[in-house]
This record gives sequence, structure tokens and C-alpha cells, in this order.
Amino acid sequence: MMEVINEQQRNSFAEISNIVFPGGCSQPPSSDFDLKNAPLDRVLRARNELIHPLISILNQYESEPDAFLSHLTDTDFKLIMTIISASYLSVQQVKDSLEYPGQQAMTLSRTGFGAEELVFELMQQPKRYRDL
Amino acid sequence: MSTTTTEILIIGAGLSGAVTALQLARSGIKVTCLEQGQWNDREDYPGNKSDFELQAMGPWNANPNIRQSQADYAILDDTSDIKPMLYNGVGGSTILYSAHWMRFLPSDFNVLSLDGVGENWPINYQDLAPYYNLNDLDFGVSGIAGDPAYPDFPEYPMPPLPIQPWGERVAAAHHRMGWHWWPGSNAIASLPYKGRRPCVQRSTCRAGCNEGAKGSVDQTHWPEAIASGVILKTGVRVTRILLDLNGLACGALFKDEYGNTQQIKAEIVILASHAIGSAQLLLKSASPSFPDGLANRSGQVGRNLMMHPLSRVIGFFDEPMMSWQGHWGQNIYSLEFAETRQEHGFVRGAKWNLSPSGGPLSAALYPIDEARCWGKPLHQRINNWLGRSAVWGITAEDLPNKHNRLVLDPDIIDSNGDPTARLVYKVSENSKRILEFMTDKAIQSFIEAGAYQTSARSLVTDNGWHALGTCRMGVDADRSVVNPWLQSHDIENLYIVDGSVFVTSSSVNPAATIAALARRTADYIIGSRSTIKRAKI
Repeated sequence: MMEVINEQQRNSFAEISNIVFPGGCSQPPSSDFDLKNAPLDRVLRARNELIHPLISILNQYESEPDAFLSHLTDTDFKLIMTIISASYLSVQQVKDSLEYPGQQAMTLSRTGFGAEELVFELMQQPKRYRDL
Repeated sequence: MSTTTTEILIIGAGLSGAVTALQLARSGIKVTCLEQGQWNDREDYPGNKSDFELQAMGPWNANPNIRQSQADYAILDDTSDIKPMLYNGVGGSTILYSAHWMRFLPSDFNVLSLDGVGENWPINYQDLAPYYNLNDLDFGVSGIAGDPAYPDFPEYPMPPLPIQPWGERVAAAHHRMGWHWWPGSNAIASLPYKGRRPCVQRSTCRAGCNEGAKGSVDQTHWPEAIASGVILKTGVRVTRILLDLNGLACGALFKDEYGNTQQIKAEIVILASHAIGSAQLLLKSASPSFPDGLANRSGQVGRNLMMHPLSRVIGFFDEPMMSWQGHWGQNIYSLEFAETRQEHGFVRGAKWNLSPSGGPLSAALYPIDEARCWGKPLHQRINNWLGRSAVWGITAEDLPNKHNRLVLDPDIIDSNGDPTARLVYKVSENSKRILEFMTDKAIQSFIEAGAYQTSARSLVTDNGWHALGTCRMGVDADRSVVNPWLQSHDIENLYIVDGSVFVTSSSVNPAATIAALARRTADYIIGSRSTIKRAKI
């Protein structure tokens, strides 16, 4: 049966997230969004194998998020940063602040590949490979 | 236990298995291929979904120990400096590869004679050139011929993909410094090609190509192979290669999708299961006549594992360049430092490839300096990285070392009750010196290109895409596993056609050479069809 993240764990997640993304460089603070609910659930729907280890990490949290992050194992740090970052970066306002529209399908230009003149110069150079 | 029969059995439906199967089928040979994974639906790839990076780090991760799909087998890697990357399914690792399509350099075949290290290959560049040429057409390679680092060869079937704004900057920088560079050659369509759509520059190649533009063999080879009569069975895992009383390979035992053991009899057996999978299967197939593993009288099966140690250097630029887009094949490459030079203090060298730098999650999580980062510095990192950076990936030529190897760990048993494959691999001092030198040079490259800042990791451990050498080729049966036609020295009707047969690794990406070798062996089998050794079944 799928584990459920309880309210206390969600609140811990929010506290830690607010330290990870306090806002800066035109990016909004995570506290502007309800990161602990819909964005977190979006991430865990995509990666439900992360629920159990996330709960284990959040259960260790008491207060002082900076100290908490500093003392996590490498594995746990990577995991909680993945989930917090993925939750934060899934928010449309955050993407807008980064001017990031997502990975777009683009039609290839037919005007060339770039730096053609340099390539044609290189073609005139002597061969440089080694052989027996 | 049911038994089926075939003329030729191929084990593995990845790059080498597909090339071999198609070439044999074109000549009317009856082929059955067994593949432990399944077909993928391109729509399932995460590249066109908003959470693609998150998916690529989990269920589409190239590390099978992280991905842990049903098709994957455990590979113990805690004794390896580099973690393995591969994919099990129809198409094999071409499903997730970056499709850098590079020929070996002529010197790569003769490193012992030229530089006094490693081993010479028993074949040379000219032996493979016709097969490189033919495969460029089958795979649909985009690029431009004329690179002075290579002998002349025919034009690629499609022009290069755009080298991108960051590629133009770096190309101009190399031009000023007199350093080699060339537009990337990639098995990625830049035009509509044989039913494939051209690349849409989404930059998600390593999570599967939703467009079908990338030359993965599920697109380029298997449809024609199956139409030509090849039987491809998916979801079946080979557990043993069988020998007859004459010491010839006569088929294999495999577990079907329900876990039942089945048998297939074959006149010729071809292993195409990746340098890890093939060596593992040979070692597991030990028998009274081959107590140390099948085809292993030389003791070389599993040894000489090479994994292409990689470093990564990132250049940060002021201008927004949308560097989350583009193809994650190579935009440009450089072979400036691929060859031995006396002044370097190491032998052989490295190949560089320039690529985009990924989306926002990569920006947030990539451990630039290995230090933990959150708060304002994390916002700053994302700001600097996203859309304004490019990456040099630098692959060191790995030299063979008998102590770097795949072994079976008898203490850890897999789901079939067999010992599990374990990688024992140390990055050599020579490779470390190569990567340290290259890192400094790549920083120089970016600074000349106008980067205001750079960051480097001199060894990326999660990047073992190029496992090679575990069943090496040679003319001396005491020192190699297969002969120059990739035929086992010990078992005349057993062939190995994947990257395990590499004698040395070159510094360039191996896919084009694996494909050329496989096609050459298929042509050998076709040409000697009437006289070739076969098991009676």
C-alpha cells in the first residue's frame, strides 16, 4: 500500500524548502507557493519510489533546517534536494521567472549549421592523423 | 521445457545484435534473436513531458542499478571507480545514448607500435572503413566529411545539426588558438531520412527520442530485420550457452516471460550482450570442458575492462543562449589532444565533445564543486547555469589492464540462482593525468570563448557508458578470446560482436566501431556460409 505523507511531515518539508529556496536572482521564494502540497504531490506521483525515503528523512527533522541539511548523509541530502528542487521548479511562476518555457520542439534552420567559413578553412589544412 | 531451432541465434537486440541480425537477414539467413528487455513506445519517453529531468534521474536513468527495471540485471559496482550505464531492451543502450558517431582514429589500432602501450589490434582503420561508410547510411548520420584528423571518407548522408551559439563561440576560440575542432557527427537526423523525422532540438536525447530522429536501432534496424524474417523474442533472459558433444555451441537455455526455462537450438551462436552481459554469460556458462567459463581457455574473459573515464568542464557565459535546447549529441568535438605528445607526461589522450547544459533541475542539482549548496547560492547557481552555459565532456582513452575486470561474485546470488556480475575497476594513473591536463585545457578553451567563469569535475563517476574489452580480439589464442573475425578461439561457431572485443578503447565514442565490427563479422559469416563451422542440431 502506498505510504502517505502526513501533515507534520509536509510542514517539515515546507520549512526546509523555505531555506533551500528563500528567493533571489529574480526567482521567487518557495514560501510564495504551497510547495508542500500540489507541487510535492506532483513530484511523488512521477517518482513514487521516493516517498518512503522522503518520509524517513522528514521524520528526522526537528527544527533548524540549515543544521539539518548540513548533517544529512550524502544520499539523503541528494534525495531531499531532488524532491525540493523538482517541486519548486515545477511551479509555473518559477519557470516564468527563469524565462524557461520547457524543452521546446523547434524546427531546424535550413540556413546552415554555423561557422561554415571556419570549417571550409579547416578543410584546407593538412591531414593531422597518425598511423603506422 | 520446449525446444525451438534456428540457424543463427543472436543474444541481445542492442546495437551490435541489430546490425548483425539485419545484415544476415538481408542475405536470407534464418536468425532468431533473444532479448531480455522489451520494445519501447516512443510516446513513453519522458523527453516531451515537463518532468523529463526527474524521470531521467529515476525510471529512465542510464544506470541499471538505479533504474531497476524488470529487464535489468544487477551489476555490483561498489568495487568500481566508475558506475555502469546501459539499457536493456530492443535497441539496447542506443535508446538512451547521445548518438555521438565517431570513427576510431587510425592510430587507435596500433597504440603498442606507436606509443609502446596497450596492444595493437589485429585489424586496422582501412579494414573497418567500408563498414563505417555503409553504417553511416543505415544509421542516418549527420555531419560533414573533411576533418583533417581523419583520412578522407565519403560525405555523411545528412548535413550537420546546428553547432549552436555556444558551439560557434568555442569553435571561433579554437580557431584563434589553432586547436582542432569539428562540427559534431551524430546518428541523429538533421533532415527527414528513411521515414525518420528530423531532430527538434529538444535536448532530451538521453531520455529516449520522442521524435524518432535519433538513430536507435529499434528505429534504424529492427523493423527491416523483422520484415526480412528475423524472429525477435523479447522478455526472455538467456541463462546458459549450450555446448554439444563436439565442443560446439548448439544453442542456449533461457527463461521465458513466465520464468520457465526454455531451450533454443542453433547452428551458430552470436553473443551481442554488451561487454558486461557477454562476459557474464560466458563465465556463467562454465562446464566440465570449460571450468573457468565458456571460451575462456585464455583466462581473458572478463579481463581488460575499459570504461572511458570522463571529466566535465562547464563554461558560464553572460548572454542567454537557451542552452537547455539543442541536440544532446555533440555540437562540436575536438581531437586536439587525442594523440600522444612527449611533452604531456601521459600516453594517448582524450576526445572532447561540446553539449548543451540541460534544464533547470540539472542546474539545481549538478554538483559543480561537490559542496552542498542551498539558499541564495543555489538561486545564483540556477541563474548562472540555465540557458547560459555549455559543457565539455572529455573522454580519456582507457588502456587495458588485466586487473580491471568483471567477475562473478559467488556470495551474491541473482534471481536465477546464479552468482552476480561484479565490476572491479580502478581508474589508472595515466587516465588521471590525462583528465587533469584536459580539464585545464578545457577551462582555457572556455575562457578564450568568452566564459566569465568555469567549473570542472575531473572525474565523473556516474558515466560508465563505454564498457569495453572483456572478451578481447587477437590472433594469439593464449592472450585473447576472439580472432579478428570475432570468432571464439575455443569454440569455432561462437562469435562475440559487441564492445567486449575491443583491444584498446580509443578516446572516441565506441558505437560506430562496434557497429562496423558487427557488420564486418556478419559479412564474414555470409561469405563463408558454405564452409563455416556449425553445430548439428
